[in-house]
Amino acid sequence: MKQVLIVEDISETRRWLSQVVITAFPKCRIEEATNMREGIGAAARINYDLALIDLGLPDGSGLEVLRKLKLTSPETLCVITTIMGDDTHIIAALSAGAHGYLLKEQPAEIISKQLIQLTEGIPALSPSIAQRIMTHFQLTGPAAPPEETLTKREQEVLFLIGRGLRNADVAQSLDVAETTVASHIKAIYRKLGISSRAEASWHATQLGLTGNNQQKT
Amino acid sequence: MPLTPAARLTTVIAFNLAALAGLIWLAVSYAPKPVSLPFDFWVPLITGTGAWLISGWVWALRPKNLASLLFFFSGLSTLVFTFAAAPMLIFGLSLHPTGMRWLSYANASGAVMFGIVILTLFLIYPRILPFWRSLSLTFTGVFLIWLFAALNGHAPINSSIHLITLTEMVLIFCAIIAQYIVSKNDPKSRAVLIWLGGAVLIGAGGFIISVSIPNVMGETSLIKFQYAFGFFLIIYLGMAAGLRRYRLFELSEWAFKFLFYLLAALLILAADAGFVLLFSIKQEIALGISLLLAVLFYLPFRDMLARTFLKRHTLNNEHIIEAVIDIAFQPLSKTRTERWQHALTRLFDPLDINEQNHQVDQVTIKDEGLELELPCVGDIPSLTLRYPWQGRGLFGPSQMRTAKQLITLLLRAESRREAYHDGVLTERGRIARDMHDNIGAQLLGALHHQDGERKDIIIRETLSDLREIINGASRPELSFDEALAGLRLESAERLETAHITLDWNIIADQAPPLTAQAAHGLRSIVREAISNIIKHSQATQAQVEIQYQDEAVSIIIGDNGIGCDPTSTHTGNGLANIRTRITALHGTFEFANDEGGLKLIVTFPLNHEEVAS
Repeated sequence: MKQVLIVEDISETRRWLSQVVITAFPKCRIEEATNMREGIGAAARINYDLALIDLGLPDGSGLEVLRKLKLTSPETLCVITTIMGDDTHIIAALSAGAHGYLLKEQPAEIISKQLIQLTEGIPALSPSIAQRIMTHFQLTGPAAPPEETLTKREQEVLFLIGRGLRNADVAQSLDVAETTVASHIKAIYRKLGISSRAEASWHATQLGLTGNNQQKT
Repeated sequence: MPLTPAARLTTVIAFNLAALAGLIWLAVSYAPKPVSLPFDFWVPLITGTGAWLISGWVWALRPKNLASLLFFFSGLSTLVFTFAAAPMLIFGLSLHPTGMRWLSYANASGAVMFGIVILTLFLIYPRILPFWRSLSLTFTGVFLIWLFAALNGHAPINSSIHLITLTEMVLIFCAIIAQYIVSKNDPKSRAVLIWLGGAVLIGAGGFIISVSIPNVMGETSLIKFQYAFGFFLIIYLGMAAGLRRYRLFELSEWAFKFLFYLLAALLILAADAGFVLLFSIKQEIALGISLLLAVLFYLPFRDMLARTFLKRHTLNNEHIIEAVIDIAFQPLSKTRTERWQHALTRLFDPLDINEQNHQVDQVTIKDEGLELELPCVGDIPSLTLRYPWQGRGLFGPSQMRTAKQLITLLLRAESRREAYHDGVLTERGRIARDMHDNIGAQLLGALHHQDGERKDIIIRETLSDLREIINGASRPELSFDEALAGLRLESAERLETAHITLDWNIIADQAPPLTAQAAHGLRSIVREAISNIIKHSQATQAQVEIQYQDEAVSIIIGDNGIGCDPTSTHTGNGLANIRTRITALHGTFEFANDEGGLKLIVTFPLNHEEVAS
């Protein structure tokens, strides 16, 4: 990790997050943005390796920063940091291509650990988000094409995470490796993005709109 | 068959035109050639026409009201005595004696009748005077006999008629004085009286002073007899002028609107007639050209006029539903009332809409279709609609059905809105209670805590509880498993940092959803117990078992550690917190030291009522 962007409006939290990031990646360079406009500006200038983005910014949504990053540097690892963790917003962010999310009230050492895991490709998924994603896929229904529906295994993973099991516990109860669970979660994220996009474009078609890069928000 | 106000006024106008045409034809055929009709001939005709039309206009809108009926008769009397006077004035003695006699009879009767009618009017309007019936009957009888006597030559006809009208005038004056006294505490009636009484005193009084009194005294009239007729027009013009301000005969500015639209309609008819007449006279214009003119200019023009002045709005079902939803979902009762009146105006185009103070139970048609009464709908007051389609129509069964349907729809929409509103309020109340009971209490605890690390923990837990409240608010029917998944994850992670494994088990298949309070209490208890295990037990394994049985929840939290004496003081704050929580849940708890470890067993009832609310 060399270049890290932190988009956060509360200054104490921004400082605290910087500390957490330094602890996790001692050699990185951190750039801070305090609102959506600064965040979008920063995203346009530098190709970051990691971006921590708060969703509720004073002048708009962190989702816009995320979209800009996805456009200018698709390689950036985007992580949503949030306090309230309003599930629907997190799911919107995951659909828009976020690689994961962190709840800011957790102790620094846990955040730092989760950050390292994320950069190693092990995404985290909280029970309530898992429950929401399950509902989402139930609603898209069995008629959706296979690349937008979950496999049986992925459904099992989601179910167990929705019951409060950690990745390791899920791996144990399904008798698979923990890395397999991680790759299932990544697959779920990806399909969430696809199915949301498909849903959005389906709605757009129904409304007679042609924009096919619309995102569900 | 009830008549619409428009039909009544049209009849009045038609009668007037016929009478005018008859008189003018008569004058033209008898007058010496070349015919010239002097100004003296027209003054009485204009007076009569004005009086007749204005009083007919009032009657068209208020056919059942005694006062307006009397006013209408006064107009009729004026029409009779003025129209009878006109030929006498221009032909004088050149008329045939019989014709002359009948005309003077009509003139005298009209004048005396005018006095009787106006006298009776002031016995009942603006206030009803005591004994008005017997007074009116007596006066009417006396004046009719007197008139009969005068007409049969028992008295010199001219001067006796003037004496009769003078006597009537004196009595009218007395009646107005009586009205003035009676209306002492009724400023509205008094204002009406001053206006209308004033008009009558100036109008009729002017005639009496300038014509009758000099005649009774054997003198000649002060001003030309025929010009003095103009005084009577003052009464009717005064009435029309004061109508809006004083609501004379309960009429208001909409009466002018009615007049305007009716005249527009009659003008269109007249234009039609004129068009036909023009082309039948000018025969040199080819039929083809006149048809072309009609199609190109006249018909579009006529259509435009008709659409502007005579349109009847119709609302289809879609409009009605749109209007009902629009009304029902207005947040303020004032705007709801306005929208309701607006919708009714679009539907029936009445001249007049009034809020009703008395109780109206159902949609009723009154006054032979002139009026429609609507009951109150929710907090929209009951209304009276009068003169549908600008006075050109009547309320009938079909309008009554429409109104009933509309009210039923509106009531249904309102009850749905109220149910929704109640739901929102209940939910808002629940969230507020949650915030206060849980979040507020926890933050207060954090604020007053001395230990900085403990403060951090409480605040963290408060934030995650807040998230539970926010996310749970939209999903109230989660199973135990789902509702407690966050707690399970959190416990497992905390225990893991102390190298303790967690065995988590929930047996609650038939359980109803956890109440917010129960979920919160449960979380606090488990958190405290886990903290105790981490701090004091030196265990390697912990178990949490949550069961639902017999409408009660039990939590069993155990470990394989060293156990401890639950009565000893070092369990400290944690145990006190657990105790507080359990008391709040009306539950019980017990400790058991078995197989070395400590076991906490908590049981509390799950209140279904609260879930339902």
